[in-house]
Amino acid sequence: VSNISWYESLISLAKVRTYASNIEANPCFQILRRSLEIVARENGGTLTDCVTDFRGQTTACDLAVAIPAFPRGVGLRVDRNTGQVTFLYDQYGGYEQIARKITEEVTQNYVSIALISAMKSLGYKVEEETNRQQETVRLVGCI
Amino acid sequence: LKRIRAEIGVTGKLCLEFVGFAGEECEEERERLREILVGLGVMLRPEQIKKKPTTQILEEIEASNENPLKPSQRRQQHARAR
Repeated sequence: VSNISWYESLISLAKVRTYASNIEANPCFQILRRSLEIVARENGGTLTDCVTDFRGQTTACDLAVAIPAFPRGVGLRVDRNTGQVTFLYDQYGGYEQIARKITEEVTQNYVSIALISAMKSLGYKVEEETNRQQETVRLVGCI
Repeated sequence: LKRIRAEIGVTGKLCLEFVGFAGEECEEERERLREILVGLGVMLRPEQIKKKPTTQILEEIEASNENPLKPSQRRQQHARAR
């Protein structure tokens, strides 16, 4: 019967071994990139491939986003065996909140993009509504 | 007309509401959605699943203009839902 359900979402890229030699071709990685692009666009930032720590030392990542409010950037690394996604950033010096906000926005964008794609593949017509006040994304799929 | 309403919170917490589904349809659709999401890299860890009251389910189904079922079939649906 119809029901309402609540879930915790975890991002873990599928088929990582299949795409091990070229992770950028993995459809999940493309969703990840789009999720970061949205964060960059909405915050006046840019996509990069490294993050910087408070000393100015850089660390390479699979993807990273740097915004004016946090130019050190938040990076992502994908485990090539499990697909698990890890966020990298240096929050030293009072950047905990902004760094966490970026990771949350990336996660929210990823789940939203994946859900739209999943509902469409089941034949649903999907409409999106962003609730800025509650900072939630609402989707309605009709079939 | 069937609907899936979804709300994605700031931390990625997901709330799914299935509207207009009868009997086993809802569980089947939820499982299909879950499988596709896993393939797209989203693992869902259930926190709470709440069954809607039968009266609400019936109202939702009846409210659908495109429900092709005859009244007798709807009653059967109702019985299955219970």
